[in-house]
Amino acid sequence: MAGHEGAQIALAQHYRTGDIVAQDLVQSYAWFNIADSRGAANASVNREIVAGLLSGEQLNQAQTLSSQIYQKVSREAPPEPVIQGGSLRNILASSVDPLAGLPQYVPPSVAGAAGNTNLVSFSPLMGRNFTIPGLELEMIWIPAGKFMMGSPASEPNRMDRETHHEVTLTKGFLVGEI
Amino acid sequence: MTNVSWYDAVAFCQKLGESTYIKGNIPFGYRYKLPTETQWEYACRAGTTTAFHFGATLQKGQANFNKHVNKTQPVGSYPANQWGLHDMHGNVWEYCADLYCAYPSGRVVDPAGPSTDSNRVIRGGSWNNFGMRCRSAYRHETTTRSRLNGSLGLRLSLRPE
Repeated sequence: MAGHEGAQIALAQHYRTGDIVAQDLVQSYAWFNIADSRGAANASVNREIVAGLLSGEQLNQAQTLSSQIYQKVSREAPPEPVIQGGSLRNILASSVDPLAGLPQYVPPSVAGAAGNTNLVSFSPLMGRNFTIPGLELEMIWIPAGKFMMGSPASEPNRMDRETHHEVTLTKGFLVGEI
Repeated sequence: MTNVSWYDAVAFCQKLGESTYIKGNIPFGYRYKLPTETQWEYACRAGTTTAFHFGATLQKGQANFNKHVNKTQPVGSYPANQWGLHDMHGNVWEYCADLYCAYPSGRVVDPAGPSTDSNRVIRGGSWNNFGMRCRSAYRHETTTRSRLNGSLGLRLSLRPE
């Protein structure tokens, strides 16, 4: 894994957000820095955002850790080749990012701490549509809400398995227009 | 997209999810996935309570069904529902994330459905189905490897995990 900048950025993100590993901004900085050294897009700006959250001592630790990791991973495999293509099959087979060009998501607290107005900060209640580049697929925002799922007994051709019941969706989501 | 199996559909969502997560392009806690059956019906209904989001019946010019055209049509060829979604009724069946199971009779909040590997729910009916199978509430199920001869596809969702 350590040879691939995509995985390095993913790891850095995990350390930054603390979603599946304990949050560790020193580790996060180190992995963004490694990914940047290998040419990964967005790595440097993310590294600087994380750097803004570190104390001077933590920054020194992060840079030391980064160089230790760098010496280890630079002996490992080169990045995976990239194949261009837009079809489902090609996207599945390739390492192209079909969403390149989308606004970059940054948690509001991080964006604010960095004072960086170029980064889009949208919350899980973002409430807006967007187009997936490459797929050219418009994603439609569906608001949270409550509805009756299934069919009423009066509906023609209904089936028993369509038991009418109330469902609440507490979070909005997006679905493809088509 | 048509002619995909449930596994193809899930793999596609995961691929999108990896690349977007890496770039930090999706909100925290959200992932590209197939919609749950609940989300599918909620999105299809768009606030309506009738058999179809168009009303009590489905007309020839509103959706691709009942072999009026006898093949799939380019997506977006028919009118959208009130939330701007096309082809919720007819054209191709759409995979949901959920395993088929009986509905509860009481109120539920954010149901996810079981996730063990068995038959999956498909929704919306296709070009070769009668209107009753294209209803907002109609539930069908199929195996995870089925492609239903090109009448089965997917609708992408970006939703909370």
